[in-house]
Amino acid sequence: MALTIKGTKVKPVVKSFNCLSCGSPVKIHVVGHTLNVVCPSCKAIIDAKDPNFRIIQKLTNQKKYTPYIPLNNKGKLKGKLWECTGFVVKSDSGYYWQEYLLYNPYEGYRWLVEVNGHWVLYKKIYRAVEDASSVISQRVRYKQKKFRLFNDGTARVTYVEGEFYWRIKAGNASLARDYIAPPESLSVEITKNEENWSLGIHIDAETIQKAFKVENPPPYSMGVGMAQPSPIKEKLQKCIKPMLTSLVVLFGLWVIRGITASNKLVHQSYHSVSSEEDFKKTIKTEEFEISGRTSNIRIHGTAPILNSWLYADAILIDVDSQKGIPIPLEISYYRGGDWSEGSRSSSRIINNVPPGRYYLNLKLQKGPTFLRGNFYLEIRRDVTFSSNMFMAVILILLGPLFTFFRSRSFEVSRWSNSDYSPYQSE
Amino acid sequence: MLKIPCPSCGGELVFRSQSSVFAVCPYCTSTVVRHDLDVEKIGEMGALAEDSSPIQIGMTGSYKNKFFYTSGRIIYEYEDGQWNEWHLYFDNGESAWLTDAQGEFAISFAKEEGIPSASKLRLGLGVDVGGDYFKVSDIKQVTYKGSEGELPFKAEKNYKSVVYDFSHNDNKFLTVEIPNERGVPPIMYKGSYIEFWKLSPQNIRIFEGWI
Repeated sequence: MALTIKGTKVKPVVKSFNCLSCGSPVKIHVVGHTLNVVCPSCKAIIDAKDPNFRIIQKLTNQKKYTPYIPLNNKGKLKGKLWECTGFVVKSDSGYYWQEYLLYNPYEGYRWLVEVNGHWVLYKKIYRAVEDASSVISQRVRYKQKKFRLFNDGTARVTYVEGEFYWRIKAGNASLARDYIAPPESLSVEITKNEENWSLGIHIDAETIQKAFKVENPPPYSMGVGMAQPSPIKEKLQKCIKPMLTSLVVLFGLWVIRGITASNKLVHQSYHSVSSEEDFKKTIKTEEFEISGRTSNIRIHGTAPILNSWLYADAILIDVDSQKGIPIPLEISYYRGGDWSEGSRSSSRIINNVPPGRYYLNLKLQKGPTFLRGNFYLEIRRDVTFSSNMFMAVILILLGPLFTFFRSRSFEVSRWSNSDYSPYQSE
Repeated sequence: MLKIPCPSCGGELVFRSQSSVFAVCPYCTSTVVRHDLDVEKIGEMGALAEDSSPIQIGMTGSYKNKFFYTSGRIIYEYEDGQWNEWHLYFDNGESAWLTDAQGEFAISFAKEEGIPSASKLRLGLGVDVGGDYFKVSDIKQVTYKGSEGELPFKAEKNYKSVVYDFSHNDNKFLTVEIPNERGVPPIMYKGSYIEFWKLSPQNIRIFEGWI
């Protein structure tokens, strides 16, 4: 763009005069727009439009502030060159922040606001006067984006340096309201006659330092900036898709497994538990066939117990090799007026049981209560089970969940500077 | 294009547009009005103070695919500042104004119909102009601080009027100017705010160190 522009080369227009108050030279760099200029030496506020450059306000015993970006330093932000032409310190009930007025003859003005070491670059936007002074909306919308109320207060001009295109005075106050949708923020300043909206974007402190070639390190960034983008939120958004994909795949596998599992009943038997005798003998069940390929089996038992327990010391024995696999079951069930614990049933899964002929060796034990009825036992092969599934789900969720809580704590920290925090109850 | 010698200094006055009726001599700053092929001196402008505007007479550019030429300007002054209204002639003979105020630029076209009546206008009043909703955001007494180039109406120094600025929910621009002089009809200008570079401007003022 710059290469193809033709025109008349001119030196930037600068108007110089001497301050009526202290006699020091004063320069105006934005001739035509500048209405008030501050004497760099005695800090008197001067009417730049007045032929005699009369003094509007002279401040004595004023605390001096030093702008981090020196006045008339130039720097490139977001691809555009800016000259720092004004510096304002504002305050609201003992809380101070800095505002820099930037100018480019072809782009107009921008505001660069520094709060606690966090920087936001603002551009004026056009919105109709909606008499925002009477209602505080919690949310505002701009170009399809929702912004949430962050701050609402009175901004008072405490200190000024440089030149301004409006009449500025120490003590001037306006209603100021900030809405955020990081990395952007939407701010409005309301005075008696005007309501000015501007759209801001967060800029890193190091970017400011590099752009304006300032040697000193930028003011320390305290906590989380109002419009600072959350690096964790980005991470969270990035891991949500793989997380959902994994969950879908897992669910698919589970469904497929459910369809293909045979769940075949290979053994069932009833064992009396009514007499003490039933607990003294070792029971040998009938032989049964476990067919098909090597798979898992589930042993499941149900006992007629209440406020007691039953322990089945079961061993699955291969008829040919006489090798045994212990598959003990413990069942306990207690119940009070409004509570209960345990269950009358219990099951256990054993993996990798090869096909073959088997029988069970069973020895029962019980608590000191009297029982009546039968202990029911069944074995199924090639069953589906959900416990592994739950483990996998937890593993998949673990990372995102951790990131979610970190992201949340970042937001809590951001909103700790606001009276309108959605996390206020904490 | 019409070239007529300045009745005061004999320098060449150029009227690029048939509709220009007023001009300021670039050599002696005499102000003249044009009666067809003849010009009459009516006053003197004096030198204008230089400002930081990137625009100058002769700047060309395009807006909505139509080419324009910057023919002149009026400097408006009010209690809290000043701004420039640059007059543009388009290739098709259309005339427009490029507002250059506090670093904001807007292009607008004069509208003679649908002007809200002056007696009703007050701060905050909402009006519908050609389907767009505006609100009166500022009312100010203005004075022409100076003018230059060729213009479609008499724009002498110290001419006074009241300017009503309007705000809009997006980037539309509306302003109404009501001359103090009795019998002169009000003019309404409607258009849009625009970024300077979007005009593809050429023959601009190039400030050292900025481009």
